[in-house]
Amino acid sequence: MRNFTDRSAGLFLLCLSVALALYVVTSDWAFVEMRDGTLIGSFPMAFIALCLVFAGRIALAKDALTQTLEDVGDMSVTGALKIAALLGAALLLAFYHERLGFVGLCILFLVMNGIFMGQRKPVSLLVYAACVCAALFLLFMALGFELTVFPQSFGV
Amino acid sequence: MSLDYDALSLALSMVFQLETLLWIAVGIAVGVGVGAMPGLQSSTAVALMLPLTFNMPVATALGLLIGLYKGSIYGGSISAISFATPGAPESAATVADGNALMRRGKGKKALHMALYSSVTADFLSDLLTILMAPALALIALKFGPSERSWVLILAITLIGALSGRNLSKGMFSAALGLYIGTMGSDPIGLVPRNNFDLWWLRDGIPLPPLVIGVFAMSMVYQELLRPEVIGAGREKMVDVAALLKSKSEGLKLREFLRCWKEIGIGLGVGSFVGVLPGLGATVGAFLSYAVAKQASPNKGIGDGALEGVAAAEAGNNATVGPTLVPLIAFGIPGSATAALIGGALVMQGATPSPRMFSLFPEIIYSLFIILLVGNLANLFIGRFFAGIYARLGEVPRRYLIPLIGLMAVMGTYAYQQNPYHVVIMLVMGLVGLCFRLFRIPEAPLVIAFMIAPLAEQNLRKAHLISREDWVTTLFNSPLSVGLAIACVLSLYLSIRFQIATRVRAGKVDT
Repeated sequence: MRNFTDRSAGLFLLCLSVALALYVVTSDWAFVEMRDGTLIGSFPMAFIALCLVFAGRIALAKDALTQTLEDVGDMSVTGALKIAALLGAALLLAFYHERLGFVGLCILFLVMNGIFMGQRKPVSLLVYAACVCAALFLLFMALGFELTVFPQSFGV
Repeated sequence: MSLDYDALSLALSMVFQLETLLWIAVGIAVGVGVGAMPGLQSSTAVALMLPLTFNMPVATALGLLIGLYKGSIYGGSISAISFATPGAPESAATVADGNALMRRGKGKKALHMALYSSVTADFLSDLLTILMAPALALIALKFGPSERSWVLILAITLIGALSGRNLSKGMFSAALGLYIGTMGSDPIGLVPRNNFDLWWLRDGIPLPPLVIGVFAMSMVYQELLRPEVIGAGREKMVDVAALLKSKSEGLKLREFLRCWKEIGIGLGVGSFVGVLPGLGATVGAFLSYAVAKQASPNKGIGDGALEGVAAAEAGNNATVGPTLVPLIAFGIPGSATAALIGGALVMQGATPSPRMFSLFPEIIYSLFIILLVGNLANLFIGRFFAGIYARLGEVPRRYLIPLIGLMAVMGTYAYQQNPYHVVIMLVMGLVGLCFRLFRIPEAPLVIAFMIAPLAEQNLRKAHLISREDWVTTLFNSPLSVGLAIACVLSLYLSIRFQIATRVRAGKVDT
């Protein structure tokens, strides 16, 4: 992705702000008046209006076309897929670690992300994942959080 | 405000117990390590550790977080001096002199000067904090809802205006933080609103998932987009290790005392900058470095002078205590890390406000004692483990990033054992990623998020008191009018500053 500038960023933020503004103004709660005379949606509407103003200012600034955002150039389909996989693994860990066991999911999470970050030595990766998993498990236990070690079907 | 001896004795017993002292030491040790790792900031470390404090007693929780904060601000100087790679932005001002000394074989002196000037300025600025905060809280207690609303608006304008080179980006960040702060339900009638019809958003967005997402998870996403290994070479590591093992080249007392003027400048500038919401340690370091350079033109600051290291390091560490002043005096967090410490206090049942001095005096005294004790821990831990910390800059990103990702997920889950908080954290991480890619500062978002419900509550209370007349609501006293003028002035001056900067940049280009 080349030549992504402040103008493009501002337009992206403007679209996002417009979407949020549409959500607020079309909701059934926004114009309901409360007992103190204010609308339920008055503050969200005021704040999203500020978002619109400042996103517009970012897009329309004089130097918006010359300010290049090089980091956006790093984005790629591979990178997006890695993030999607990370999201999936994180949700799996959060929602199912009690049922499937913390140890297995934690090691899976670490190994997957280690590979994504360029680690190609399987033995070091597994040793690293096992050590981190054990350290985190002990830390959480010491702080009073109970984690399930193995899948519940194991009965442990 | 008189001293409450019972509360003081309770605070002393809360702080001087093994558990609290141990966690202060852990906080400092981890914080210095985090600070020494390029790319990791104090706010990331505090955000990741925040969930661990929920099951701790309040003094222990404060000890861990303040230890992290103090340690990470100092820790950045280690990699700045050793590898010319500042561990955090606030240490960038140390690079010029610190690394020049390193290249001349005086790295040990520079590392010691960084530590001693950091601890000295930090300790003295903590004393200023202890003197200033109660006095300001007394003033704040006299404020009504209208004045409080204006103080909050002033804080938002300052935060947005001062947090970056681009005013609009800072203000957008603050505006989005305000909007996110309205999610869940309205703060007075508790009527559900702005929750996208998701039942798990009815209580709004809690602070831990927001900050962990914005500061830590966004970094993991960005690294996945750019999977390159960042870090200095192995030869450099060997150099640093050898240097720190050597018996010679340590800092002499005479050399330290020679820098009293620069440490004094760092203390003054850093303390002033720390009190203002939105500025923080980076501005403190650069400003005191610039003032010291002007004040001592013959000392060779910029070409490898110990005075340069002293000014920059005193300047950044002197902001640590004062940045908590707006939080405990007005309930307004002055920086992202102060917001996180405020969040920890809220979760412990002690909401930061001027009334905290009368409601929870033992917590305030504990905070003050921890600020002072933390310096001692910083001195000893920083002194004896500097060699190990220098090596931390070498930890490959391929090991570090998965660990941060895992800590972010499990830390968020640990907050209330609610997996939906992890969903919020992951979404906030995507918001943070956009901010990183678009170079939008994250701190205004977090601070404004905390301010939003307070601003709404105070404005609506003032509105009710003034019988629903908005002019009387907003301008019901000379103080309100003065604060309103200060808000307008703050915005006007920041716009002028932006224009002047652009004009100067234009002249340089041509």
